[in-house]
Amino acid sequence: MSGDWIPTRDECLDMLTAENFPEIRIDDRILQPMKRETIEHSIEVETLAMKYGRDIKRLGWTINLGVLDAGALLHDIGKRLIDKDRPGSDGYGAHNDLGRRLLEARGVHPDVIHVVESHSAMPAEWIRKLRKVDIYNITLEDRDYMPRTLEAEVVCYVDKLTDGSKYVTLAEWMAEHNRDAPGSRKVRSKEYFESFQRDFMIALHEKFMIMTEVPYEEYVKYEKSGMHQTHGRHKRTL
Amino acid sequence: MKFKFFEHTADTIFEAYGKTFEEAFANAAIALEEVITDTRKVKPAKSVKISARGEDMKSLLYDFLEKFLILFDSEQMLFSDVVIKEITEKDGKFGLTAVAKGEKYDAKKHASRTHVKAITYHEMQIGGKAGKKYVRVLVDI
Repeated sequence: MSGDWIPTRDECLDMLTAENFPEIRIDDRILQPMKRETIEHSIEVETLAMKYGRDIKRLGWTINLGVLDAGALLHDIGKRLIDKDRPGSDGYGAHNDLGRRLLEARGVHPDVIHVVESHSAMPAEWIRKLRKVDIYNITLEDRDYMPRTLEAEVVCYVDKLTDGSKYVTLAEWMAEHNRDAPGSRKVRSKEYFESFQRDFMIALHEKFMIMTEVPYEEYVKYEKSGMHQTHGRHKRTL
Repeated sequence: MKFKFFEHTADTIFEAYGKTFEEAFANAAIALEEVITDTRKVKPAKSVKISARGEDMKSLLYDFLEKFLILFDSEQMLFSDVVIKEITEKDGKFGLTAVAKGEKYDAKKHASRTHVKAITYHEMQIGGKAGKKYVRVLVDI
């Protein structure tokens, strides 16, 4: 179903804001306007993901920055198909799958679709466990939704550390997820965190620090602290 | 004069000028493009909308210029004409929307000058008086 279209930045922003794509129907779903906060979040994820992508590429690794940019901007596009008033609410991870189906129907390149569907990093084993818990209402297919490409890993990593339009540190993210929060539609369980999420994020954190030679904190310090009036970007030794 | 470059080791510094901040910011974008290529060879064939925002004028300028790096990295777009409609300030947040015109990089036609690693806040200055504004930017190359 998917095609060879890697949407430009302008085309991605149009997809986030356009009122309707009349040719597209996914089940009986009606395209919802994207929340302003979700659009802002997507642009923050794009900005940081592209800082990583630019440095990764410059240091000689193979990464497609067109795929990265489109994937980062569109990672939450599936939320446009989630209607809170629709009977039978949508469960955990639904927007990953809806994003994939929407972009497949539009003829978007599979590499971009992979970034979108895998950005939450959900292994098959955990999807099976969550399926048994009513509150998560899992509608995902019985398979991994895990990032398998560098572009997808960058977006997954950056998205988890972008809370709304604010960047958080790995330690802050961990503090937020290392707890049981019953009743939450997001998976907040110590078991999930300890057996999977934590190690996965630490692995990405270390991988990107090695690849870029710049720690995460350097990438986000001006955005976080307003220190930028007096301090410059981290100067590399290379 | 729209912009000028300064000698600097390992980095490039430019100042860009305008009657308004909108003009000075737009000229800074062209100066940045000029680091990357010879903008006289870039046809304003395709229009792209660009929005930027910031907590203050410096972070607005940073975000705005970074969008040009993103567009070059992801789509190989070069620009030779940039117009900023208006810089706005609302509740302490600064924003702008611009229309940039250019075309895709073509090795046969466009010079490949310097790869820009990053926009920086080093030595960034924004100032001037009524009718004569300037911005000063150091880019990491």
